[in-house]
Amino acid sequence: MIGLDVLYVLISVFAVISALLVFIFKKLLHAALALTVTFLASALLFAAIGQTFIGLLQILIFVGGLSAYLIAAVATENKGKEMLKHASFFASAIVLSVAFTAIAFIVPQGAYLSSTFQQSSAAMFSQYYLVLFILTLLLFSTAIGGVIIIKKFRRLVV
Amino acid sequence: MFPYLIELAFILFAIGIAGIASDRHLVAIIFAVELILVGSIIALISFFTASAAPSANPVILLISIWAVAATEIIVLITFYVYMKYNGISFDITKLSKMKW
Repeated sequence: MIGLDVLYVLISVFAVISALLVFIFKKLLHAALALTVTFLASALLFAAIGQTFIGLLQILIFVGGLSAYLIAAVATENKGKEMLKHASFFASAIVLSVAFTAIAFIVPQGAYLSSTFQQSSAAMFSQYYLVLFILTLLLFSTAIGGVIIIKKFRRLVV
Repeated sequence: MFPYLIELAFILFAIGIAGIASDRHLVAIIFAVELILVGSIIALISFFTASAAPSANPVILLISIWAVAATEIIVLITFYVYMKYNGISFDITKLSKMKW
């Protein structure tokens, strides 16, 4: 029990330090990596308190999806510098590797059969499917709008 | 159950608020908002795990927060690319137009 408490405290301290580092780092790429560590720490904390499904989704959405996307975008900051381009590639690769390794650790054997996991996943795809559909449409329309804005601007430049 | 979950949520929320108040870079402000969202997710989970109601399920609220966070990142990247290649400063105190 004491070991588990120590684990909780360690993950929490890790989350707070990385959250502070987001504003201490001057380079955006480093700040984005620190933010990724905060997301990862929160996901591990959820898994540690027994909310495996939420921890899993947190890793898939925040760490695997948003952070890799964010790092890839922020890394274009100094486009001409070869060094930073390689750094961004490795940073994205490391983030994705860490995310998938964390999934392997976060989901213990038989976790899919636990009642919390099954209740949460069942509620998502039966009770709340309409809300899920609307949110998906919101995300999709935002992404399409972003692409249209960027394409419109590129036409002006080229 | 970790007893200090709500305190952790409050600390992350406070760091996010401090980041918004102190930083002037647009991307750093969006990062701060992401921290606030993480803090709110942790607070929600702490209330849910403390709740004795058997039917309580935070998934739909969490999905809403995740959707807001993802939309925010997409909008940030659109603005980032647009402002960067249009030569617009990322300093929010220098932004004076809402019209493109």
